[in-house]
Amino acid sequence: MKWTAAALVLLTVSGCPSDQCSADNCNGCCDNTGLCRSGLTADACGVQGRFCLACMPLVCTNGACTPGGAGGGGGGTGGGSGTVSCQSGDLDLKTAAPSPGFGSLTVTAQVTQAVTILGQAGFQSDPIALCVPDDAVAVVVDPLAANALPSSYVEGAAGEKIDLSSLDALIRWVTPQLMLPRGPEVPLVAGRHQVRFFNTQSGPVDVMVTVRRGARGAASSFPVNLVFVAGSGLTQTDVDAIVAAAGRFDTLYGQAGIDVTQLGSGVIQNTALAVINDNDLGQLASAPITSSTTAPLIPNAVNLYFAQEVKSTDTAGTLLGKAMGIPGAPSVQSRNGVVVSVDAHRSNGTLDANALWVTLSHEMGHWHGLRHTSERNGRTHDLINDTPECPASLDANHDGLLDSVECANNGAKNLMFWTYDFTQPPTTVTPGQAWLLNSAVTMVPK
Amino acid sequence: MVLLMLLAPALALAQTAPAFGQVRALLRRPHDGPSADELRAVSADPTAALLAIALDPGGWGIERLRATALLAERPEPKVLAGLEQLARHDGLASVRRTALASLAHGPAHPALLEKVAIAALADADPHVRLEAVHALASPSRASRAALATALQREQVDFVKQALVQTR
Repeated sequence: MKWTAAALVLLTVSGCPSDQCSADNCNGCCDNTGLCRSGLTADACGVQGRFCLACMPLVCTNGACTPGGAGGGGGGTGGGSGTVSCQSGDLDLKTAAPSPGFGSLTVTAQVTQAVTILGQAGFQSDPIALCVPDDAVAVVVDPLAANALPSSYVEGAAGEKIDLSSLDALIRWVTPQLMLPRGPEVPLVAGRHQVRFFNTQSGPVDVMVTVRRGARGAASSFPVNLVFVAGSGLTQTDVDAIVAAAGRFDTLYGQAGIDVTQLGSGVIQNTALAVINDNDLGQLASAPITSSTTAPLIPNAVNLYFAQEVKSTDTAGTLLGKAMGIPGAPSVQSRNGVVVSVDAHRSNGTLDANALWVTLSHEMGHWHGLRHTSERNGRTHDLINDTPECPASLDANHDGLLDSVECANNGAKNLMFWTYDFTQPPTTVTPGQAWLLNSAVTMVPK
Repeated sequence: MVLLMLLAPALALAQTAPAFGQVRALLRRPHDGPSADELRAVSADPTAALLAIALDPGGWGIERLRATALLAERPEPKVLAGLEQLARHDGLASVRRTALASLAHGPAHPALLEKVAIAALADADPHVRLEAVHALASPSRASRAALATALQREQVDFVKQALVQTR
């Protein structure tokens, strides 16, 4: 119910009815009034019914925002004319202190003064300005207040916007983190970025900004910590299955040139956390972890938490697993990993490594910034152009849900299709998804 | 006619088997379980399907847990008997706990709930014991005595705290 209220607020703010324009009836892009546009202009760029992007200072090339223009070749035309100059007083991400364990790759800065959400009309804050350095690979902006979220666009000093609102309000509300880049077509541009914040009430909001700097590799690795919650009924056989599941990450992530090279482990001794509601995951993420002596915890790794059961507060049922953010960030304690319901993956009492691997792979995709290629209604998709989309028109049984059979030829086998079945695991990752995964804040380029 | 009568059970099975599989698939999906409308769309008798899935120890845990939770809204005697069996005897602690919660949150059956919850105060899993404490929020004389006994033997802090709060 709280989602509905939140969605109403956001739809009011954006003035965008969700059903008017979609891939079903628009080959170009849908603007924020619900009209279908050609999708070929810099102020309204996009294809296949996606939300129109305002590309400036980028240009629109065949429906995609690109840095170099159709003539291309020169890239940033003079080394960055597409950027907006930073100004005095901006949060300079170049000077933020490196976070331990990641060398110069990832730094985290907390906005020192809480951003204040202003007034009743729009519930919108003044912008904070971030100065993104030339060597930045990815930026994650994370409002730490429970109900705050970044606005749907990032804007430069001249008012230019990169619109991110093609993701429906409901999803953005549940996962309020903002990540740039969003894919090869919505890259991170160096220079000044302004971000506003929405909330359902006025008041201050703390904001955490994480930036990864250096090179974006075509191949990467990321470290993982296996964190077991005491009291979850885990046996040595179960732990062996979990380690086996972790050993299979390469099956899908290998397609993106990504592997797990380091594995740490530890135990949360607080047995009260073995059964946990999904809106209490911050308790899990902030609980003390006793490090293993044989495979010590790795700083700034993705924490994979194994609890007996994670309960959904909204659907009164068990969750297979949940990413603590889309994307998460190792430096933001409440969003430092992925949690999995162990008992949900048992059959005949035995923990199934294959089922666990499927859930972990999908949720880690979220945690690294990937969204569903198609949502259940077929009207919302990610912002990556090469991911297959399953449109609402394929809902053959008219139940309002696109299932794996209906989308068999339209992306049902993709790692990030909205639903999956661990009896028929996903098999594909697209080059665009691989590009974004390799851009994630936790990835270490090879 | 006779042939049709003989074939009827097989035909019924042929019709229900795919539906049963569809219910299982809905229960397995990530992010959320099915709504009542979604279940009705794929099964003429979702209660029977949910009960069979919940009671099947060979099924996936996610299917069994969600089926058990959804049974809370279904007050038929066979469901109550099934939930009691799950709460008392199932091998998965999470299923025992969910069955107890379904008995507690469904239509009121105070005598059955009290009997099952008092037994669950001695469960090996602390979260099942915690659920039992919550289920006995308005204790009768019998359950008050059971709660007092449970408090004397309880070793796990978060369960002990919940027991203290019932006094």
